[in-house]
Amino acid sequence: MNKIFLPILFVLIISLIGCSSNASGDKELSGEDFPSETIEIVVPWSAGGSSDQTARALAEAMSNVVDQNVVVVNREGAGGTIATTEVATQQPDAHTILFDAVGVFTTQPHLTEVQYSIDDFSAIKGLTYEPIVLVVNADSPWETLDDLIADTDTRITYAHSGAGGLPDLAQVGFFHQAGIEAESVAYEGQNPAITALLGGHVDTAAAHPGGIMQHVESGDLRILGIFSPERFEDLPDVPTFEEKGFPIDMSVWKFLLVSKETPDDVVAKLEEIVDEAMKSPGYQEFLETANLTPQEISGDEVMERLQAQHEEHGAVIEKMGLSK
Amino acid sequence: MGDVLINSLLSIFEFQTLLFMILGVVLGFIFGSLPGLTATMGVALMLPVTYGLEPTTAMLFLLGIYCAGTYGGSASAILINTPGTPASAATVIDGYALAEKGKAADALRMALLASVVGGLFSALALLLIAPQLSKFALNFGPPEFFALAFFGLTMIISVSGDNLRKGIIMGLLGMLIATVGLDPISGLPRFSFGDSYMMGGINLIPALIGLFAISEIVKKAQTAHIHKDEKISNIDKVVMSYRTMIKKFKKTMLKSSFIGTIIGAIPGTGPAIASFLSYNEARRASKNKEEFGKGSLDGIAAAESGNNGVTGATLIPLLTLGIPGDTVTAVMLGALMMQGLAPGPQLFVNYADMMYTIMLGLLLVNIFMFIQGSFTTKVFAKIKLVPTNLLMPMLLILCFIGAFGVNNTMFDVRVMLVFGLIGYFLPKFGFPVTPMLLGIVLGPIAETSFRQALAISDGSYMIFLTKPISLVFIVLAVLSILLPIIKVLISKSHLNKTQKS
Repeated sequence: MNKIFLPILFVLIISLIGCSSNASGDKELSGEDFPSETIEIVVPWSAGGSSDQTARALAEAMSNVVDQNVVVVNREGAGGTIATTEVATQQPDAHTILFDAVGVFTTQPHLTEVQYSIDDFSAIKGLTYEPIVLVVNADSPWETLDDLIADTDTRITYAHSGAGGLPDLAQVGFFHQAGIEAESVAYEGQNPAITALLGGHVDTAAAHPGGIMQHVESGDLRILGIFSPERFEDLPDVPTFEEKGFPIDMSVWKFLLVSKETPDDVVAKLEEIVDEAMKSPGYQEFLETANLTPQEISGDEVMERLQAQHEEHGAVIEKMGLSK
Repeated sequence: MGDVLINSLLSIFEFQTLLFMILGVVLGFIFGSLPGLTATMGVALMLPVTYGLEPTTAMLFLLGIYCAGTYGGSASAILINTPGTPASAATVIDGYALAEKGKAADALRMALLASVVGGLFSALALLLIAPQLSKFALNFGPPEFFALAFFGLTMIISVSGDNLRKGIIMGLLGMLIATVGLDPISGLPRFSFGDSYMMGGINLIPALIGLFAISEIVKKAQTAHIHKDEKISNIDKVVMSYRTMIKKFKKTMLKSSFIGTIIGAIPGTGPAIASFLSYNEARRASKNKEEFGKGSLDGIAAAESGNNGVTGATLIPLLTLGIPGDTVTAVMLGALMMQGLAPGPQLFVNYADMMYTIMLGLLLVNIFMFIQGSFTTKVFAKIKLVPTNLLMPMLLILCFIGAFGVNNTMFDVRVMLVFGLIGYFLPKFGFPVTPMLLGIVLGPIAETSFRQALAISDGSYMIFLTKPISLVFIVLAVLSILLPIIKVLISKSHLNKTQKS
């Protein structure tokens, strides 16, 4: 009897948990008394990455601006879509802020079935801008972008941080337009992709300058071109792909969102808080060490750009034959 | 160079640095020994604490948590049949068997000694040959990773116990479970049933807690009302001295530390793989193979030296290349960046004194771990005195917290409970759970690197045989599958001959 009883109890516990729902408070928020409790910044990526670091530096700066604590919660998985789905479906009050990156709204919806859209959110502010560059190992035969463009006979393997991510799309677009036969090698994150390039296992990689500058400075890697419409001020000698006749504009930028049900005055208050935090010396110093460029655009602008790039990236994905 | 060393030594022995090292070791042990809380989580949770500290103090604090956490997993593995972290999954096999025999103290002390030896070995490797090791590690591309994972999967043979067929089934099931979620190469969802949580995949930690801890708690709960007095009486028997342990197991410990260090230096591997590989090697080299799995101190020495052998070496790719090999070092990378230090090739040039402080401090962290461990093993060996009806509910709560804490979602708690059912029922029919864990750990590495390698080679399988490192592991894997079979055949034909004559 006893032997059967416990497993049954066990199954009951499982079903109980399955039924539990998330209770949410129904407090009316107004801009004046915001924030009235701890502010939570949800980061859809793991601790230690560039997004996490940015969020933590910002949280530190924000907690100096407001009387409340500001904490970072990592909820990683499925290219950022899990955390975004959670916030979109649960619509928590403005004490929960979502840190997000462009691809979650512009590429993921074209690649898989997602249960959110940009309309589920209000944007607070743009945070950082990271261009994408094409890098090769210093031992590679291609000294410049022109060498690579001219070399249409070689089969190239290219590394990137994950299928459907912007570094993947940018390279697909370029190799396709240049008529170079290229094979995608997907890694989980930028670091493993760069490691593979350093070890000479792949021919090229696309990545953000932040994580690779040290290898460029030490002479192990070489940057060939940048996937932005204009040259990057930190890399004035690196040509854009547009200059060479390949109009590809792909860069990652990050921003803060809240639930769409947040009252306008609270969103305005949040924008004020974030603004002040971004001006603090601590945060500025962080941006410098991490090789990140601030992108101080307003919430409305964030929304506009997301809508526009949603279409642009969708077109590239369709060309690649990756659309869902 | 001399100046740098003296300066580094001076800054290690500053009061604040010492204090945080000790604090880190205490915290790490707690995180490691509680099922569900891992060394990785400890490091991530304590990251904000380090912002106000000096860079070296911050790093040594985090390293204290990491090293002690990697060791701490052995305590719960031995005492309650639950690896506190994935890294001590191989310790469970023999540790719990010894504890059941009343030799928990011996097992705990062996785990401590082996961990410290592994940690010191690894820290020395970091100090002396980091640049060379990092160059070697870069040779590991997709084909090499696949060959290593393939070799690792042959360990299913040594952890399956008596029934190899059921072990292989569980191993394959583990690999299948690991495919849930987004396909790592093309980013398409597999077995996700349209659910965004399933799309994120099955996380290792809740699966581990379920397979080992939940199933054990349910098992224990069934007999909690029966009083057992004889168990308590045989706890404090004469324990083996550390000197005897060193004498008997020094070969195993050194070899396993070496394996751990090599594995640790390769980005993308980790302590769990190192401890399984070391365990496998110790079993292969041992004269008493049948003792493995039934309470072999040799097995514990191998597993624990192996996983702590990773601790120092994992810093090699981080500090020399700026590449974090696993989650722990990714968090440490974050900590360094927050301090205004960008890890990488320039770090040793610009901040040599800090680097030496960190590397020498790591040696000291391991010594603190030994001192502190010597006390805690005495206390922990008495955990069997806690009545089961009190201990099990406490553990159950910890399991729930641990599973939830992985990603702050209830989904992981449900995953844990499902795996609890698997871990409870399947062993009743002779299906061992350790091979399943191996499948979950190694399956994704094998799949991803296999497909990456074929993308690079344009579909040619020769890439696995033309790369020397890859070839070595493939040969080793084939040998470890074939040798036992050949041995059986030889002894059979031998038997036949003697019978005929």
